[in-house]
Order: sequence, then structure tokens, then C-alpha cells
Amino acid sequence: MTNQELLTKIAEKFPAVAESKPAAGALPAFNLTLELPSASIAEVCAWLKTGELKFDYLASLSGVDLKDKLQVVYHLYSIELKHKLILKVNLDRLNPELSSVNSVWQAANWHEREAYDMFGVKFTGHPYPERILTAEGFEGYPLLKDFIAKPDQYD
Amino acid sequence: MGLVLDKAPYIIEMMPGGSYVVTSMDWVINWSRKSSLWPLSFGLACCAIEWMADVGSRNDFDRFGVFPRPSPRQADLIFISGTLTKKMASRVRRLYEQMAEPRYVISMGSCANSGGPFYDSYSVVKGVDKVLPVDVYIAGCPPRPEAVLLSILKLQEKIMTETISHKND
Repeated sequence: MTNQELLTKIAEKFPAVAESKPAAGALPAFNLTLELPSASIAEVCAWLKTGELKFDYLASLSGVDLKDKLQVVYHLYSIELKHKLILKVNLDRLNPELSSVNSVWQAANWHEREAYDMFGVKFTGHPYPERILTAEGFEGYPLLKDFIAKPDQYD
Repeated sequence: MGLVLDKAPYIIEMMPGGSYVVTSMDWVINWSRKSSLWPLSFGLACCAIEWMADVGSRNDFDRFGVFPRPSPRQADLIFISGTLTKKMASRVRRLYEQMAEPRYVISMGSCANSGGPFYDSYSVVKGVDKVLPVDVYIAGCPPRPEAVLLSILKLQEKIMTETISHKND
């Protein structure tokens, strides 16, 4: 399915979803990139997986710190129909909260825990919302641009 | 026997009316320790791959009696081969404490020596000597297999200067 066909089908179902424009000077994305409001993510993802588009594979779920806001980026792929899609959700930097898509794709489990660990994005409905990579008792979210590491006995 | 004859001045003493072998306890103990340094089969990062090259047939550190063991209970030596993260530090310390004495530590590569390229990171220990007493440091990123062999020879030299009552630190 081409990017235009994908966009038409998704926009029919969810009018709030908009195509993401590349930043000034940036190359256009190869795959269709959509931005959507954070409240609709669980509903849209459930439909993308079970609906006719059959996005059955969550390749990546990652966080981005854009300084004025946080962003969560989903890379989706359909193994059967062989098309790709990128979803972006903008979040408030002070209170980043988003529904978990763990019930849609099991792969989201560790990815969401990593996004929480590194950026502090809270995924509501996650079965085990704990840190995954940093050491026990770690404070702060190290991939935030304003993070300053606190020296400990190993520094 | 070649080795024993080379070292004959250390262990044979001429006595009036003939000769018999007098061994120095320190020399024999140190010699047997240095000749069978069994390291723990353990690796942390990419240096561990280089370390495996030393286990292999081309470099073959079994020639020096260095033969990897799968359990810390049987190991005399631990190579810290790679980046030591703060999360891993307590685990490495526990492995070290499970080893029987005498035990030796070789810090392999820039990351283990000082944190290396990750010095400014929030998650990396700035040198394994913050966690363990290190006997020999190897420079390099990663060190050549020859450098790892040299570190074993250096450690053997160090072991030979020990006495029963005093281990060098």
C-alpha cells in the first residue's frame, strides 16, 4: 500500500490524525509519518493492528526530547502487507503521560519501560511500569536534555 | 625439567660432603601459582572478544598455564574485560568475593582502567579500581592479544616477588 493510500484510509477513520511535516531544512521522511493527539493513541493503535491495515509488528517505540516538549515515536510494520508507518505523539514536558500499547503489541512492554527510564514518560495501563536499564535507586531521567548526573561512589 | 635446571641456583644448594636440593618455600609456591593462573570465563564488553582471541589457538595463553574456568570458586584471576557499568559493579564485586585467595585482577582496556570514552557518562564506573584491587592494567581500546599476554607475564613477575606472609598490593 502506498503512503497516500495509507494516509487516506487512516484519515477516513481518524480525522484528528495529521501528516507530520518535516522540520525546516530536514529531508522528507521516506515512510508516512503521522502526528496524533496523545489521548487517541490506544484506540488508533488497536485499530491499526486489528483493522484492514494489519500493522502486526511494533519495530520500535522510542522517546525524544525536543526541549519544549517530549515526543514518543512508534515505528510500525505489517509483515503480511509489507507497509510501514511512523506515529508521533507530542507530550507535555512537565507531565508526560500516555496510554500503554502493551495490550496491542507485547513488544511495547520493554520499549515503554525504556522510554520511562530514559525520559520519564509514564505509560498508564502498563503491567510493570518500572525502570529497566539504569541501576537500582537511580534518580532522574538521563536522556532529558536538562539532566545532570549526580556523582556517587563510582565517580 | 628445563625450567627446573634454569632455576637451579634458586633451589639447589651445595652442602659439604655432597649436594642435596633445598627448596625455598616461597619460590616453589610462587612458581606453582604463577604457572597455573586460572582466569574466570567472564567478559563485559568488546574487550572480552579480544580476550577470547587469547584463548584461541593462535595466541593460546594456555602456554602460560592460563586456562579459563567457568566458576569463580576455581578461578585465581579475573580479567575485567570491558566497560563496567554502575549496575554491574556490585555483581562484579560479588564474583570477585566468590573467588578463593590468592586472587588477582587484571584491568583490560581503557574502559576498565578509567571509564575510557564513557568517562562523562551517568552509568559507567570511572575505573574498575573503584570496586576491586587491580594488579595489572592493560592499555588499549581494545588491547592487542599480545598486550594481554604481556599482562600475564607481568602478573607472573609480580607473583614471584610475593612471600608467604605478604601479598603485594
